Amino acid sequence: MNRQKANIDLLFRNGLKDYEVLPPKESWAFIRPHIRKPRPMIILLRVAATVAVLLSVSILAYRYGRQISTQIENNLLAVDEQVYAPVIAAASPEVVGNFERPLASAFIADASDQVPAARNNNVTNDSITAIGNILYTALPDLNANERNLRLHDNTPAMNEPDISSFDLLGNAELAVSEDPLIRTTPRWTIAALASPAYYSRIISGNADIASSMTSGQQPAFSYTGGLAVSYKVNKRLSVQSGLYYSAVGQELTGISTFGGFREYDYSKGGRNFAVRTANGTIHTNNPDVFLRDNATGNRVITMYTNDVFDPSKANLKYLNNILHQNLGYLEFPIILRYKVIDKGIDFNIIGGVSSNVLVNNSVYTSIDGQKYEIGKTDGVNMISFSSSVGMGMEYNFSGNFSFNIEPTLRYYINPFSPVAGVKIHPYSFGLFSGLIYKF
Amino acid sequence: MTDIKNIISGCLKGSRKDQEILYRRHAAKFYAVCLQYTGNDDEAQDILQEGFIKIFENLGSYKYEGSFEGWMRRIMVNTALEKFRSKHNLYRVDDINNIPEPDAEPYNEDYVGLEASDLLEIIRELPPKYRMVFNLFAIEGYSHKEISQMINISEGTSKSNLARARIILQRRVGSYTGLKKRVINE
Repeated sequence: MNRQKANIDLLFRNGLKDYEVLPPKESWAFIRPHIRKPRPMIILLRVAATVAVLLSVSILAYRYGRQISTQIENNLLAVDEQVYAPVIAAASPEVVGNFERPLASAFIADASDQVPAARNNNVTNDSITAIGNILYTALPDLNANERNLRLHDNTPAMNEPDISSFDLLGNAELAVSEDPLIRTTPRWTIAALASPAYYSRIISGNADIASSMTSGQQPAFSYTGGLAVSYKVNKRLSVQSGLYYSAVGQELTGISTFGGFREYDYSKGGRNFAVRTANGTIHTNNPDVFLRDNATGNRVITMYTNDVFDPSKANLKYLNNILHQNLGYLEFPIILRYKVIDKGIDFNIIGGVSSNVLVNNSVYTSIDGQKYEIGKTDGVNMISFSSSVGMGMEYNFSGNFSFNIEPTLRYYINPFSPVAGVKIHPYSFGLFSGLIYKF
Repeated sequence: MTDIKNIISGCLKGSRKDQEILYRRHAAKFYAVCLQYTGNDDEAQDILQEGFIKIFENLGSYKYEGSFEGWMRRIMVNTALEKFRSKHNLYRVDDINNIPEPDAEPYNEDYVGLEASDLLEIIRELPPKYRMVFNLFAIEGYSHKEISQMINISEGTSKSNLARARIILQRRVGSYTGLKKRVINE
């Protein structure tokens, strides 16, 4: 009988090929809640879709807003001029001669609606004086030439409570107070805003360099928060600035960190390891740290290579397999905000630029929830610039307070850190929300 | 293929039902793989769970090129590798001299009747470094160069680990089959 020696490799390969063992029942129950949303490519598509939806809604809202505005203007202009013409003539021919007639008619039509309400319908013979008062009240809003249109040199003492403002410069609409009491439109607002942010980047250039610079790097939780002050230029447009703090971060997986290296560090320099990332090169400044790239093998640059030093033989303490790279910025934004719908819930389109000053730069790993300092990222630009677009919804729940939500897409005009051979432009998608106080 | 495409598509849309179908369909096979890569049942369960979470998170990057099961298996093996890397300095390598000599050198016919569960138990008894090299070389088909990069050892170490793993397996299989024969004869 020909007894042939067994091939142990084949024996195990073939024997285990289709072998199955039922896992414990609780495994699926554990997996299910941990399944996160799909990865960046899909998230990127979703961000793009969200932006598209926001733009669509903005365009619709803009068109809708204009329609409402036009209807209001038409209604005002459609008032029968004949009813009020004699009053105008009696009031001041000078006015008729200098203002466009429809506007004057509209103005008087509306003023006539309001004044009786305030004065218990006692209008007829007092209307000239009333109109004079109204126009005089509005004069501060007019420019120098328009001030020449003052009706009466001998205008009697003002009865200001009836009319609050007359905005000829903005939309040529009358803003007549519904409240007999004085009401001034708040022009300033201060807001406390915060936003979680999802960061990613657009990379172009050499594919190999890009791949090596970004492998094993996942965006970490990022956020922005701060105070914003805005000034209302006119009924729809406002300018916003403020001071934000934003934390940007990423996680580098596959880089093992060991502690206890200090006694083997013969250079005593501390900066023993460098790790190349898309945000810049990390340099260790903790002499107790030993780093090793377990994934690609070429991200960690050091003289303590595998053939020189083996952390397991030196019995170094394994700490973690993930590095956290954090950058903190103070942001000074200049944002324009255009109100497309001015209702109980306002809709705004926002866009602007921001200059960001680097104030925090740290790299650490964690052991049982405690931070263990590794070093910092070198070559990060002290100042970077970003542009942002978004759409905001603002709910006014009292005269002076409102709550807003603003999905915002931000694109960094320059990278955090220049990398030869590739262009890396970070972008982020955030959802700003916060309280606004108007004064 | 259409069926699996529909399931993948459902998973990408976040369908819990499709995710569970995918899991139920492959969990038993991959749990056996996880057991093969570690001597500890709890750790095998961790690898299975982490592996499936990665599979679901990375489904979008599957390009429908090559076997889907092979793609998933690579993720499982990589997860086992990560677990191994994070702990490998804690593992001790058994002294090969402590392993008993087999009753007889095994031949092909000795393995007739040796079941997959027996093979799994034998492979799980290997020291972790030997088991990892043997699995990657003999089962997954990686070269020593690839293995050396994967677990950060030299090619020479990979070869010697494989040789030692084979010797241990030969001895254990020999002892196992010898024991079986004795049991049958008695």
